[in-house]
Amino acid sequence: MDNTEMYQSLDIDLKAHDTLMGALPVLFQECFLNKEQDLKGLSYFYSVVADIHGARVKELIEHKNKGPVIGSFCIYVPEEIVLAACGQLVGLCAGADFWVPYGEQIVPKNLCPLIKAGIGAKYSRTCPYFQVVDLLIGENTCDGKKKAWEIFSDMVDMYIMDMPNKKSDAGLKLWQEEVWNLCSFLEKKFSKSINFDSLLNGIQKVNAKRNALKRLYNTRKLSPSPISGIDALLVTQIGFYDDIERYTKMVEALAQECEEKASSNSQNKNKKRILVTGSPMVVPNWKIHHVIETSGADVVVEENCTGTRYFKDNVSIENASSKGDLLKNISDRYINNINCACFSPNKGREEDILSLCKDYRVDGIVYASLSFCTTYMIEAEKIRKTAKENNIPMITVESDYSFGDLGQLRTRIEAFVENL
Amino acid sequence: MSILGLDIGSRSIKWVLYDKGSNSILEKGILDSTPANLERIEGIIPPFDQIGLTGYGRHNLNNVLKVKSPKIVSEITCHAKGARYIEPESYYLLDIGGQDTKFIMVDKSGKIIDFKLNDRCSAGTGRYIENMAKILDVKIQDFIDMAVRSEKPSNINSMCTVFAESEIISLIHSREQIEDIAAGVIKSLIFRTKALIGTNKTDESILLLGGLSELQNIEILFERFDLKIKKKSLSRYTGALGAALILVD
Ligand code: SF4
Ligand code: SF4
Repeated sequence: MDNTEMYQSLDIDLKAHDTLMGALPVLFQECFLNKEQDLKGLSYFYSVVADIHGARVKELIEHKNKGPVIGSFCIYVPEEIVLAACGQLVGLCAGADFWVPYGEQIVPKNLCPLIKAGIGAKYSRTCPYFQVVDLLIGENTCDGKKKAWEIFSDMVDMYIMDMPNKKSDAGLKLWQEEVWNLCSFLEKKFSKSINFDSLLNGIQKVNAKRNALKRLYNTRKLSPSPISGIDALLVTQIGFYDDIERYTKMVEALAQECEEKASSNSQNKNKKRILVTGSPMVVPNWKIHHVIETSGADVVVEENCTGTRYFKDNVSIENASSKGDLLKNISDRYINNINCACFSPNKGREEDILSLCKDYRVDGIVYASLSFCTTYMIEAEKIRKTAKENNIPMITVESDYSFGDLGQLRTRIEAFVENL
Repeated sequence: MSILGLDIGSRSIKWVLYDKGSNSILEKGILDSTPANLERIEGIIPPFDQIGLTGYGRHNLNNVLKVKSPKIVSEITCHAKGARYIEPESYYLLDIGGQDTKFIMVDKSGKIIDFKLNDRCSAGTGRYIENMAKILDVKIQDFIDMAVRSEKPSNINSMCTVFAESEIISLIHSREQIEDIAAGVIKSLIFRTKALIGTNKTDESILLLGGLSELQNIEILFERFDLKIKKKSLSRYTGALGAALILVD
């Protein structure tokens, strides 16, 4: 089946889709192909992006014979359970400016671009991933999303997970129930039984993916980092929708190449080392990394959902003897170890940032919040204080997906780097 | 050895020719950032041995100015450097530029401790005042002089330049004194600036840079709205001067 036929079967607006696809190569060229890069293992990831609306979409359509394709917008949605139900979890990217005007036809302008682009992608029928999913799983992490699910519900099948605001005992209990309910819901909806073995299998696959990413990120602790920040970001972003087993292998191969490159690399680049933190940066949002790394610094780690928060800790399988044990371990890992700004208080994030700064020998923090992402914007003040107490320079920037502010962003970031 | 510092701002281009031997400024100049001026810039600036570029257009001028290996530095660093030369005492800098407003904190050794910039919209920048003066149909200096005479400045609440324009037009229609409207505009600019400065302590007065610093009596207005500023004759040129000085050490 050629792509046009496939797109027609997915009810894609072909004309608008052409416009969207016309914009991506320019951006990709600018951010990735114009820079020096000597890692063979990256060519796989580049090819995934180059064919972003092709091969993988085909695979997902084929997968529907075996099980559901499920979309999500947040790393709180447990992939393990989706895999156990023979499903494929696709992180819906919503990182393109193209979709924002479509979203603004439906929701107010002063929302974060992630929500506007997500709604716009569905509404404009130009993203094959949004078109291919059988079900969307939303989570009530921020007010914007909570209300956005109501709008999505009119366009696509939705299941919503509730979230506690506090990591208290009651919060933990609520979340455990939500995880359990999701499991039962998927079993019923897709007539698949989820048992100990299938869950264990799902957990092992996701743990392996996390381990591979951890191994890759570990090489970034070296100076100079064998992989540029923007490439590492791209690798993590692709982890949200690629076939999990193939992806894990590719990340491992890349990590190995980085390890070898690092050990043969003796020259010490004295570029400043930057930690990026804040709101998630989903494909194709490469803006902040691009500006930092063309301003003479290296991004060596990301404390965000398209960074360490995604893979930081594993679901434990030790001492688990029943499906219930595994589900409990899953809920524990997600609730305890992901330090999203939707929680209050969120002390864990401050600690994470400090320990990352130490492990990756960071010279400065770029705190990048999406415009109107209230939780991350507000939390910047706490992080600024913590960073200051620990003598780590930090700059806060707030930006959306458009390119109108590139000049100003560059001025700020260059000045920040010049003064490190 | 002569070093040219070139500050290509969004509204004007400033240059300073600095002599490394005598540590002095030989020449300086300013012109509007029009497309025509940008094209012929090479013919306007004096000959030099080395060049430092800063300002909004610092990365894009290379095509016109075919100089070898210019030093390119952000305007924040350059302002701090240049300001220290003209006023070694000052620790706070406020650059109200054509397109953005910057607040820079410098420590006693000249190192930048922190800086803040306004967001991308032009409210609170020099451009804002320029537009508002245009609506009232007066020259900028007259606008300032009128504002100084006002007894009760109008309230302008809009966050956005375009909305502020409609607000001003409705003030004109409701027969508010033109002096008061002018003072209201300056008041809203200064309040925005204060929001930018935030909780930073500014007991010492702030050195004002950028186009606004060339206006007479502007400091009276700042003082009236509780922000102490001072100006120097070279305030306008700190960016260009800094771009040159960076090549000196
Ligand atoms: S920032 Fe919070 S809500 Fe957003 S993806 Fe991450 S964990 Fe989920
Ligand atoms: S957490 Fe922030 S970025 Fe994420 S959906 Fe909410 S507002 Fe948008």
